Amino acid sequence: MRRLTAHEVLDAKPHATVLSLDFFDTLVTRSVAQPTHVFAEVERLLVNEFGREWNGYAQARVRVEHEVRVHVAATGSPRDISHDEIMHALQLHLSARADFIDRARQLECECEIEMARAVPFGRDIANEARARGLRVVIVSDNYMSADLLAQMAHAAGLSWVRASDIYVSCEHGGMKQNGSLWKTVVALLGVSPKNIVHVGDHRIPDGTEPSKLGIHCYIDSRSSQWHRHPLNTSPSVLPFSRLEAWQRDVDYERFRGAPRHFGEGIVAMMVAAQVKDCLDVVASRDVAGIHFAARDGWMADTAWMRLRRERPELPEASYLSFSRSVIGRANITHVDNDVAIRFVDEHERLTVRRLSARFGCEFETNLGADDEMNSALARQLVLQNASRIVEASRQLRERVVGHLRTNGVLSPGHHIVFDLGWRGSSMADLAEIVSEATNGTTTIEGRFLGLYWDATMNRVRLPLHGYATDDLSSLNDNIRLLGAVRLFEFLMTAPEGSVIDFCGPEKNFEPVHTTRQLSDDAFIGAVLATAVDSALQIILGTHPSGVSANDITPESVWAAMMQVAHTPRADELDALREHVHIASVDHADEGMPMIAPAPKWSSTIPLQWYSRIYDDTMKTRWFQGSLRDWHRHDSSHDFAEGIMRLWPFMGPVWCDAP
Amino acid sequence: MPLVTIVMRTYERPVFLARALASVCSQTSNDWELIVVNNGGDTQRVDNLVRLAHLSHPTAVIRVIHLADRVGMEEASNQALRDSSSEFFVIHDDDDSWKPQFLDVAVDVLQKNRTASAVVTGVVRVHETFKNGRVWPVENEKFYLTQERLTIAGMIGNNTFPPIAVLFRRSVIDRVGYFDSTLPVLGDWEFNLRALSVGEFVFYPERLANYHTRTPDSDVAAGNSITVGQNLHQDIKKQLQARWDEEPGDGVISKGEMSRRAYAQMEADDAARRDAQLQQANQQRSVSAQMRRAIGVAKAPRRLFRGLVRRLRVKVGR
Repeated sequence: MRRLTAHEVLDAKPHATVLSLDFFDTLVTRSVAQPTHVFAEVERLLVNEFGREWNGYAQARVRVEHEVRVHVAATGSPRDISHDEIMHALQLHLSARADFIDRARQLECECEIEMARAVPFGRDIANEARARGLRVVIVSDNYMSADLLAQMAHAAGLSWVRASDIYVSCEHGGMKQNGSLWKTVVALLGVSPKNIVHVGDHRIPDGTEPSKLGIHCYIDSRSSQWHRHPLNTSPSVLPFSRLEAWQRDVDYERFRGAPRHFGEGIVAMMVAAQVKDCLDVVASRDVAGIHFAARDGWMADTAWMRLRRERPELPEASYLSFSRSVIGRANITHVDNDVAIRFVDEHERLTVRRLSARFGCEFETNLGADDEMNSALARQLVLQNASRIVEASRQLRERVVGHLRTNGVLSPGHHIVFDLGWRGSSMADLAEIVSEATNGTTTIEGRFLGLYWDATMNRVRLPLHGYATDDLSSLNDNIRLLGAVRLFEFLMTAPEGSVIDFCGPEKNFEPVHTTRQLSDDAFIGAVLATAVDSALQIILGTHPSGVSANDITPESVWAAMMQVAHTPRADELDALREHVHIASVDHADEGMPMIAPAPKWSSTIPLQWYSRIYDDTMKTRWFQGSLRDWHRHDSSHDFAEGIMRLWPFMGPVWCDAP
Repeated sequence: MPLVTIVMRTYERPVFLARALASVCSQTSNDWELIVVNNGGDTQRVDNLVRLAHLSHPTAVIRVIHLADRVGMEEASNQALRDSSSEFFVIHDDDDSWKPQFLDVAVDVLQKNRTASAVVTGVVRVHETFKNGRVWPVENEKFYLTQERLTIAGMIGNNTFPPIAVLFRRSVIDRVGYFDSTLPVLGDWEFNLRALSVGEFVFYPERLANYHTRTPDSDVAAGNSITVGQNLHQDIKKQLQARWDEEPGDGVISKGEMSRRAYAQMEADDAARRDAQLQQANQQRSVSAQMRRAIGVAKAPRRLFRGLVRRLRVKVGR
């Protein structure tokens, strides 16, 4: 539906005498991306004032409000809850002293006022209505008093708002949501509903219910569509929240689309984190070389090069092309069952041609080059051709070493390689190749944005450091990362495809990539085009959102990753539905869609299928994205609920206080 | 002189040791020294892991004491403690880990509580499986701990927290002596009770320590003393209680008898708490059952229809 201008909305009802506005996300929004992040700011202030024991306040505040709402709804009352009720319940929940709760409440009100910002459309239509001589009132379902809402409006530059023109549910005994507040408002205004125009952002309270009385309604949800899940809140999420609030404001007139949001939002924060980690390392010790590893280090490498233009004293870094498959292949010294299993996935159907390409050698077999075979047969063929594979591996290893030498990775000393994550096994293989090629004079340290829990065993092979997450993090945090890994691998990429081989000395050991150019993809192109600029602005402290390098901490990056990966918005899911993630070891297949299509007949599938669908989705897709997508649609909603009940850690409780 | 000495005893568990070294090196506090006591194990492997840790944290002070022959856990700790002189000390088992803020917070709390012997933080018990050199977490459990369990009455019956969660003031050793090196296990419990006699233990509820224990299907060599040596623990506990029978308790009964009674009470309390947890789990299971019923209804909508008809009949009195 076409979005109307303020004039058009008012022109539709020329005889209207009253303009009614919803308050939050219609007239006033906040400088954070979602309402509950106000509590995160309150928690930050409380921890500063009262100590670390108040970590977790924001989540408690959200939960308690929900519980109070459930309790009141259970009584059958149509009334809304009040701020007093929430804070009283919170005091009991936290076993807190009264003066602490008073202080928390005071801070909450101050934060609400401080963070208030006018919504452009709400402000414009109010001004236009006032110019036309209409009375402008505010009708809101809220636990906050009219006085407080008026103060927020004033702080947002809407000085004409008077508390007496605000009809708020907690003071008038009814709610917009169930229609009862509308009846009260119409009676108090003393005008015919036909002479009222209402603008709001929610279909039922601002559309369906007032329409029943004859009020002319217009819905504009541009601000509220940026909200994610309310429970996901802690002070660490505030930098990302400010970044998203800035995106919301920039996109107000024209929605620029999810790829751009990913690029200048979460990806920019992750790239900035890689660069910041690198800055921390070079500030604290001497290192022989800095390398950003392919492909998820490409953007960080580009950002680093551009940062060096501003700060020439920073050391040079290189972009190190390698991939899990090529390093794994170069490290085959013998072929056994483990090798066969590592290189041939259980569910793969391969041809001899593809298997030969995967190992870089001709296979000896009676089968035709394009005869299809299952994984068991493919693995058998691998074992039969062990000597050819080992020889091909030796030759590849020479090319890998040549490439590493050309890029300065073999110079004596300690080199740092920055990578996205997750287990560190490829990095450990690389470290071993480097160590052997240099007789131990060169060492490699892996610094990852995210280490997964099964990185533990690789710590005995090389020094590994996780920035946003580590195998030392709690089990829950790591489990919640499951599925998110695919999303970040998809988003953090380079313009060219994966490395599948290296040329010989005649071509200076240049990397050979897959033919697929990722920058040709409009989605990835948009991510690449925006992420580096935005990351650099963050590091240099010039980002218009105000987010700077000081805001980039392990906790804030972790919280941002979880915000996006675990609470995707509808527009993000829609944008990603058609995109595939290629996970095969040779990067040669068609890949799997990031978001799994909902199972057919999802409301009647047998319970025993649940775990199979869970496993498949978890191993090959962006699980959380799939789950949220299923949840959105009526046909698969119950199925998604079932999954969340069976595996509670998939529920919306991710962002623990740091 | 560093503010904190971290003692890490190890014996042939390189995968865990690598993780434990990373746990120490990741601390936001830098004012510490780590003494790794290689209790009779392969020296080269330990040296290699310490070298790896040094590569990424070159300013970290990490010393290694290689013991030629394996000694008891407490003797290993004592050797490291005798070789250091920091204001605070902590025993970091080689299979446990900390949150990065552990030392910062624990030191701060102990500095603010001048009369306390130690500070104990909240603990997450990480159940993990270790097989063929690989370790993976299975479940996180909130370890039950309260301030009451850090008093003489709360602790006399049983050890109530793992060593990874406690930071001691060094002066405690001057007043009550080192760990009892004659004890093969429960030396920390016995030391804690002596330390309590000269100052309180402050409880800091934030869960900053991870106490890792292996599930029963793990390789035996990776087990905790507490999980693989249950009988030994019981035997040593009885020996200690017998020793304490000679010591005054609360004025009415001996310390040994206090321990036995407190343990019985603690067992009863724990059983009650487990029952409550079980009840909660059952409620959750009943949610799953409701879901299964809902799925059943979705599979056979006629069942729902028949149910509605039945209810309607009841309502109209037929």
